[in-house]
Amino acid sequence: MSDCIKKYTFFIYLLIIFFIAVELMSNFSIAFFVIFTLLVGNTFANSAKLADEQKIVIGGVGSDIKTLDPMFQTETMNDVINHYIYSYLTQSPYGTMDFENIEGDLADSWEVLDDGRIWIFKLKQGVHFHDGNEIFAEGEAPELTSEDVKYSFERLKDPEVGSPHAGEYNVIDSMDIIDRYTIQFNLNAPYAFFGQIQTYDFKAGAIISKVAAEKMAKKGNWGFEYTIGTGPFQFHEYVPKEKVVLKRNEDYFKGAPILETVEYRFMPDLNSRTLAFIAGDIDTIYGVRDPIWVKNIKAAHHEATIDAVPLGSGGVLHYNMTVKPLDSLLVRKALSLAICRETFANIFGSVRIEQTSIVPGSYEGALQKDQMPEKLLYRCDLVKAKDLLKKAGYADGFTIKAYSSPRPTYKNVYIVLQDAWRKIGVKFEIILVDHTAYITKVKSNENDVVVYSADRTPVADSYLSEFWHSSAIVGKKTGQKNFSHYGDVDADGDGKIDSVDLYIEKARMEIDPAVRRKLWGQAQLQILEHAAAKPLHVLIKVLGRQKWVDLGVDFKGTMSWTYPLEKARILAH
Amino acid sequence: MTTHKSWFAIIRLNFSDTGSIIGVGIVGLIVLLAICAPLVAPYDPYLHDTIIRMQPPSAEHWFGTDQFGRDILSRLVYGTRISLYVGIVSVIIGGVIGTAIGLAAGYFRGWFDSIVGWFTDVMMSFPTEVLAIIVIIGLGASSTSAVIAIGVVFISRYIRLIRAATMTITSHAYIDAVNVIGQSHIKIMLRHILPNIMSDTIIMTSLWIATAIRTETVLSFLGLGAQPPEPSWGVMIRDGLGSLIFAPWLAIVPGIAIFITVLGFNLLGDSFRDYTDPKLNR
Repeated sequence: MSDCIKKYTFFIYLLIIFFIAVELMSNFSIAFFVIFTLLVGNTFANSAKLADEQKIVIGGVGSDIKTLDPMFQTETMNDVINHYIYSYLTQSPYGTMDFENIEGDLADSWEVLDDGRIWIFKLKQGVHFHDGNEIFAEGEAPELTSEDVKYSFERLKDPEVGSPHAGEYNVIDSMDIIDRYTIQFNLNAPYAFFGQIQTYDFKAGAIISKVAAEKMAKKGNWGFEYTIGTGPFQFHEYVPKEKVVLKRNEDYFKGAPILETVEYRFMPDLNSRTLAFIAGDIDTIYGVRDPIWVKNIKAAHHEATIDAVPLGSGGVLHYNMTVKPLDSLLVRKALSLAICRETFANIFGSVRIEQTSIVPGSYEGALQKDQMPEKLLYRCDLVKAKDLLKKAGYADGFTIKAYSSPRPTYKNVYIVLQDAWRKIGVKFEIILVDHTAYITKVKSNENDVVVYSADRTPVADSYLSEFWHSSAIVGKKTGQKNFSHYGDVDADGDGKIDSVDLYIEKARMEIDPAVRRKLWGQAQLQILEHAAAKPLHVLIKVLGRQKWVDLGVDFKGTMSWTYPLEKARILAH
Repeated sequence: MTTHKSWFAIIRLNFSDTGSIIGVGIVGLIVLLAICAPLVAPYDPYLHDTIIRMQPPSAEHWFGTDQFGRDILSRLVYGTRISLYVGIVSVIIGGVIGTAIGLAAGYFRGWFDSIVGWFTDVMMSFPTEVLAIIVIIGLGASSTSAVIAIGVVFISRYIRLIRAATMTITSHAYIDAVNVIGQSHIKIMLRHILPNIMSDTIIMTSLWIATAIRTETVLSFLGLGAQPPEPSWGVMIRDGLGSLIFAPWLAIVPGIAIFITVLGFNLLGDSFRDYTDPKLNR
């Protein structure tokens, strides 16, 4: 159909010119013709014929899924599926990653009091949970209320539940229900980005049904029958090791989607996924962050659209400063100087953006390359690296070890580090374990160095709080991903504990963006000065879609590992 | 006195058999490559050159380059060392321990033989790879662990082989004779039984080396054997598998190497067996 439109484009333009000429001659109002022109345009745009079956098949990663409980999601596939099932308090505008202009998802509005210590969310009314399932019969699903919101965050933070994301909402001190549709979050410190962190579905801020949740044991993961949200699609079927099928939520509070079915197909093998995409058996594909794959898939399937989503995962190498000899500043500097970013540029090419600070450059408050002193860029210098090792008393090198995920974005980085450090006499032993085991091991402090890729709400605070605040040190009760133990160790050897907690906390309270950026900048400079980490790169997300997948929006990006489908439709093909 | 062909006589193969020639040729070549790897490999197998990553086969790189720009031919050549090391050392571990236990069980019989028989049955009820994985879980993933794990798997195989062969030999009159003249049990086992069962052992060993090499590649493929940057063929296949569509040489080349090597050892084993089989070799 789009070909048809293209064919007649010339005649449409002729028609428009004709009417403009008539308008000029007859002094009709300009407004009439603007409206007329838009109508003509829209008529043609919307006249694209839809496929008889509005079903989209996502060629996804993973061989199976254990849970769809949003509070236990740790895998990409959880993120993808839950993105369609659940709603959140806020969101970035549909099809964008515009976090400066976030809008309400379940929240109708919100106000911030006490310099950001109190956040009051007013919920949209008439939002119902999914029905026609084992918990809620058809037409009997309850309306979402502030009780559900309170319950969702309480369950998330409950140590007995044991959510791996519990620490991510440490900032919530308590919640008060003001009325059926109004909830107040009392934070333990002012936090200017509390609205933003709600938008990110990987942070497990999905709102669940209290009634449904209370029908199961409090502890542990949910079964699929409890996968009940308020999102555009609802759980329909799970076939082990094959697929998860979602059906359109006819009562979706923003209007029922056009798509009837969303099928997430488990396709762990990249070759099968790629071939299925080229053959048109799947509609969207979870791509590979490898420039050669991107180049080849574009060549092999030129009709498809391959989207490189600019906000990707920031890859940072963290040194575990509780391990000898990585407690030595000289040693860490030497290791950082032995790593050449150019090598990563060669490997990841077009899917990589250089990262010189510990916060990805595209995040609000990230230090840019030109804001950093030359020495903190830790440019590759093997001679200097060897010299520093000698000064530190390790002229003959040493051995360190790390577990690695088999995912190329981790394994390839570790192997490059191994080669880089080999050149300065440091033996780096890598032990491959599956990805889940890798995450467990790095959080259990078992690695001497940790490579971690993460995409977060794009403000510096999300990175600094999760990776560099002392409360986030791995192994602590409130621990998250502070793998370097920064904030608990003497990083520069002056006999004092070094920390950036104060900068992070002050920035959270700061209303003035310029001052806030300065505080974040100071934190980043201090961490880099102490060589607690080496920023490596940002790897951008790669997603692919067939030409018949119309997302219903000029797609600019997504925080999720999948396309937004609320307004999507399948064109006839 | 012996009832079997001298065990060292079996190395004199029948070279009129094509299979034997191919088997000897392949194994000889593999051994030669392993010994002369630094001379044969055109590049450092560990050297990264990311500018030329994933290059297809060319005059400079006959088998192409991998994800890090490492020369695949060089890694393949060095990979023969790992394969042979695992293959030979693991069968030595299994062979020495298994032969000792099997010999004792077959000779003394009684309660010891019953326990050994029970142990062997239990061990052999596990598929080779599964038992090796169980052992590796206890030891931790590495090449050394893979060697030990495969060696452990082979212990029961050797026990069963040697025990049965020993029982056959001990039924012969000459064993009764040496018993009567008062030779010690150790001497009887080592001087009169072991030499006569060595031919069976060598035949099976040549076949089991192939099994050991194959098992090592499976373990390394699963991430339980050799770890990066070791150029194990199993690791090479695993690393190349994700690029099978756009860079098939990454997985196919080491796959062919495994096929040829296993074929070589199997043909060699078959030749040994044919040579020592009285029905085939009159």
